[in-house]
Amino acid sequence: MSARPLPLALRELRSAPGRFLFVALAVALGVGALVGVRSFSQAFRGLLLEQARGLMAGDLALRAPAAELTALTAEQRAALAGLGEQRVRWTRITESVSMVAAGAGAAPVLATLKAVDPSRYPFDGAVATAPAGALARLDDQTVLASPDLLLRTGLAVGGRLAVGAAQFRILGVDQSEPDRLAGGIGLGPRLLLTPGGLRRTGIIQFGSQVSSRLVFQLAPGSPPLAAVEARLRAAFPHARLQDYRQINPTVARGLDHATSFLSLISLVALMVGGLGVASAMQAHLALRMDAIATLKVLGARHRQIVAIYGLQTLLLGLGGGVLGVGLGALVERAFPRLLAPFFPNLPALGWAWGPALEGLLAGVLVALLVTLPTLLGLRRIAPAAILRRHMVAEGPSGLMVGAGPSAPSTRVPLVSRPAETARGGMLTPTRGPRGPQAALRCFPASLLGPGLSAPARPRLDQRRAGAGRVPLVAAGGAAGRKSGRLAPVLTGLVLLLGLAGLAAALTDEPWRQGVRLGGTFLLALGVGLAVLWGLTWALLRGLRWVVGRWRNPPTALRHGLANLYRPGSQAPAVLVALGLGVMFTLSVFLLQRALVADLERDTPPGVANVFLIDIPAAQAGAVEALLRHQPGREGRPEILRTVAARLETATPGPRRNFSLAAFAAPPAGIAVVGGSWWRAPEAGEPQMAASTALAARLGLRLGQTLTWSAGGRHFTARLAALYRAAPHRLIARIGMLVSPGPLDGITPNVNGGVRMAPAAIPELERAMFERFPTVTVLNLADIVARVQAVVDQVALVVHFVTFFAVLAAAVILASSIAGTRFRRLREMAVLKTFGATRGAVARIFSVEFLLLGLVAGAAGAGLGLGFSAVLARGVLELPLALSLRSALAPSLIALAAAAGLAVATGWLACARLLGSKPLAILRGE
Amino acid sequence: MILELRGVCKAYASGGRPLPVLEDINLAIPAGQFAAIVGASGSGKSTLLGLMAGLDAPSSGSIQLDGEEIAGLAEDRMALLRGRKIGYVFQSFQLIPTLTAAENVQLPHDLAGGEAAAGRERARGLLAAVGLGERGHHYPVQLSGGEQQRVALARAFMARPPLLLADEPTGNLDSANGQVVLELLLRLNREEGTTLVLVTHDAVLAERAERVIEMRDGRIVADRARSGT
Repeated sequence: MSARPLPLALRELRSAPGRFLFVALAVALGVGALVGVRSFSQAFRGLLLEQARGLMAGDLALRAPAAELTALTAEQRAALAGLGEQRVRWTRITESVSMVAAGAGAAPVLATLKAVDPSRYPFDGAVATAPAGALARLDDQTVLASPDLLLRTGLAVGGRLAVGAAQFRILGVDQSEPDRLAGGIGLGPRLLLTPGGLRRTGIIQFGSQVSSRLVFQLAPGSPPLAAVEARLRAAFPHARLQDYRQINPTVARGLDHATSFLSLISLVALMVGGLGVASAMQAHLALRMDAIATLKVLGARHRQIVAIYGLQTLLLGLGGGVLGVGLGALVERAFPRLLAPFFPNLPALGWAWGPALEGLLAGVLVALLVTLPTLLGLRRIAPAAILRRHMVAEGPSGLMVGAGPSAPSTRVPLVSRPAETARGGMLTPTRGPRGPQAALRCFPASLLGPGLSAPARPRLDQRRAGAGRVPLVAAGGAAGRKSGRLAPVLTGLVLLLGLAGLAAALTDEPWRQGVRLGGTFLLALGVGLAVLWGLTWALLRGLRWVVGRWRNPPTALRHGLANLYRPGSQAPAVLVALGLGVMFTLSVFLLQRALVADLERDTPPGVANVFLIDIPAAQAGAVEALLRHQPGREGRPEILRTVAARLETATPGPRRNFSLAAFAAPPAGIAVVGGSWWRAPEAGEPQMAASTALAARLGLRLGQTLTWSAGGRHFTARLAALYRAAPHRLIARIGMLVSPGPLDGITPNVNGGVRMAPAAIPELERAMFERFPTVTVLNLADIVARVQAVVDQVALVVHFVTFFAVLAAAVILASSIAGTRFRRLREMAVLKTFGATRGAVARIFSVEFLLLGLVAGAAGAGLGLGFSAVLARGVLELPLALSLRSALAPSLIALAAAAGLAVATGWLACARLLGSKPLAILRGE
Repeated sequence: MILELRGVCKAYASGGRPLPVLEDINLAIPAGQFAAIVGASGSGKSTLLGLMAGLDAPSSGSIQLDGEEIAGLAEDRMALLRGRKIGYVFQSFQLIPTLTAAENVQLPHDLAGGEAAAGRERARGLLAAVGLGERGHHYPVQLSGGEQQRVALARAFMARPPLLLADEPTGNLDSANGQVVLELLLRLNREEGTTLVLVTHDAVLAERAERVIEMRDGRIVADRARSGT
């Protein structure tokens, strides 16, 4: 007996390279899924964040009173210089408002001036100009003007414009700036000029309305964003810092949800990949039991065996992991080409060490974690079992190496031929303990799929079999029994803790969020396992009861059903694995749907991109008529009538004025997230709804009564609902909504919004300016388009990653079902020997596969609904309730898919066996 | 003749080349005979028995079962024929681990589409005949090796096959259990009126046969009838 385990482990690997390659490939599949999903997640996250950076024109913005940013202190200069040395670039953007005019005597127009350094601005995104590239040629004598400014002044490119004390030549048209959302001042006509040009105007004086911000860009190699923020916060204590993720509520929420979702996908990939690795390793170990027993007979000590097979596991895990990483790399190389039409800006995925190492580590850890309980439990396999292979009259019939109702255990029979041993056909299932003890024992194996569980004493067997049967398992007295009970529990705990650690490491979230997400995931996993185990137990019991009372069922049905509940059946483990797979994939699907629906509600396809402010009430109808007939209109005009009202109820801060609007039903663009909307105007008690942001700011509570004065009258209303408004909807400009009644008869203020084709907006502006010159037209088309682009990308990413995760799960679950082929092989041969035709065998197994899929699908779908509801509300904070109606179709599809998957993969793995000659199978040739 | 083999050869591919396992086997087994096939390990006995049962097809030659050529029979037809006419006992029992003892015994009856109650009744009777009347609800794992082989014997007789083939039926049992199983086999054989062909290493067992066929290197080297059996 070699004292060195490595040579032995290697020798065995060398003995059957084909089989070990198969195990390594199965491990590779799991690792590949994990690496692939995580690489995609990281690439997509990068893509989304890149889009978000464009909205700020950089990574970070620092806002402070203009005076503070104009006259920097020595300390502030030093801080900026220090950051500059660390590859952090910065630029100053100053905005102000001024009247501009085409010349003496021309009507002046109020415009926003934005001074930027053309050599630096923008760090991210691009300024669209006509002619293209005009920004780079901007100097102190020239400006870029927005189209509406040209419209209002009647000027064209090349014309001269008076701004304050200076004259400028119009160099080109400023069509869009990436950071208009970040602008601090109005959204009317705009001028882009240099800081020197702004100084020439002379409008920047003490007391001027000036907004200034510093925008920073962190080049590769610069300190992390948080560190830069900390440095700036110390140097500019009164400044407001905003990073690119916080620039827009919709984008921020979309990014938050998308990153949480992608983290969740990583956890699901870990679970699904872990299932793949676990089922491969368990199946491998099951086939090594005979060799292990022989080694014991030849004098191997327990720790030597653990070392040999632990090393072998490690090598297989590593080998499979490396293959899996290679698989992931292949996928990464292939997919960008396939994805190019959908993600034109997708950065090259390239080789990412992070996900590769994570995948490798996760593969090896999962492989070790799932095999360790079995290896440690081998201590109690008596070497005598081998010696007594040919002398079994007085002993029991097998060598117990595993048991558990939900984890197929294996038994090394006391009789076999060398050929059978080599093929693994000698391993037959056995019966294990029941009840809580069994549950604990089988838990680790149940967690990770079919295969071995920790060894257990054949207690039930002894009781049932009578006195003539003595266990070969060396229980080792009371102490041995105690440690025998503890070992599986401890190893189970190690397994769970190991998984918990992996989950926490893979969330990619700040630790608090990571712990929350990881905790929810593990809780769901635990609850899912417990419920699935319970359902499986109940189902198998129920089936047994039904079959026992069925007088004369068809043979195929009886055997197919019976195969599910017989002792040693792999059905429980496959049910748990498949059920978990269905649970997670359905949850991912439902969550992505909720997420995308939530995003789309914020920026639906027809959302207004032009807003009309301060429409005289008497002209509202005429404005609406103009909008209706305007060419290029893409959505229904939205007209919102509001009434100015004063909140008389004591709230924090001074008395406030608000715009109120009356609605009988929730208007488009809001989601009720608290309380409930009024059903019908209830006489005597007006009701209100407030936006969550306003309610939080004013400290309002649901049920509170608020007193208002509006149009010379007072009324009180009960706060019945809280809502979240889509930020780009007109409705978001109102803080509170009220039930019909209290505002009747008060002259309203009217605002409007409409969705226009961007090219048609100048024409609308011209028409509005001619007929309704007092109405302010805000063109937010580029902002809405930009936000919508980010939201669309988030939705596409979420869809794509979901598809990939579901596909990976299907492949891995298929392989776990296929892992039952060894048992079926022998059964098929025996059935054929006793007269079963291929059709009869096919019917028996089809019934079994179908039932497996249906039961796992039903249990998984039920759990998936619960899990996704918990995650939607608890972690992603999505207001969307998962209604039974909306979830019914996906649940039924999941059920059908699970059944189809079970049948298809079962037969994919077994179809070839169906045509095998029984003799070849039985003799292991 | 219940079984007749003419010029039967069987070869397996090994390392890309055919490896002959059986060569030119000619053999006729009359109905009701108890024949033992003996020979060293690797002599081809079990392969020959498998071919007799139609568990595999010969590379060449003819095998007739009860006058019907089975050498080229389609697999499903062979399975149906086997279900009706052949009982088989394995050295390693080959009970279906997920079926109880009674269900294992009943299996050939079920596969033939027999009426369930009748099958249960016969299975119960056969289990009682092999001394396991009270163990019908036990799973194979709950039975000793000797008990498992007794269940396998009962299963082999379930369909009242005219031909019973047994491959080292006592090979995995100690002498006491082997003796019990052998006596049961012979008794059932007598009671059920079957033809019995068994493969064995056991000289004592072979002594009990009416005819002993000896094999070496895939060929029949001796075929002698024993008197007084």
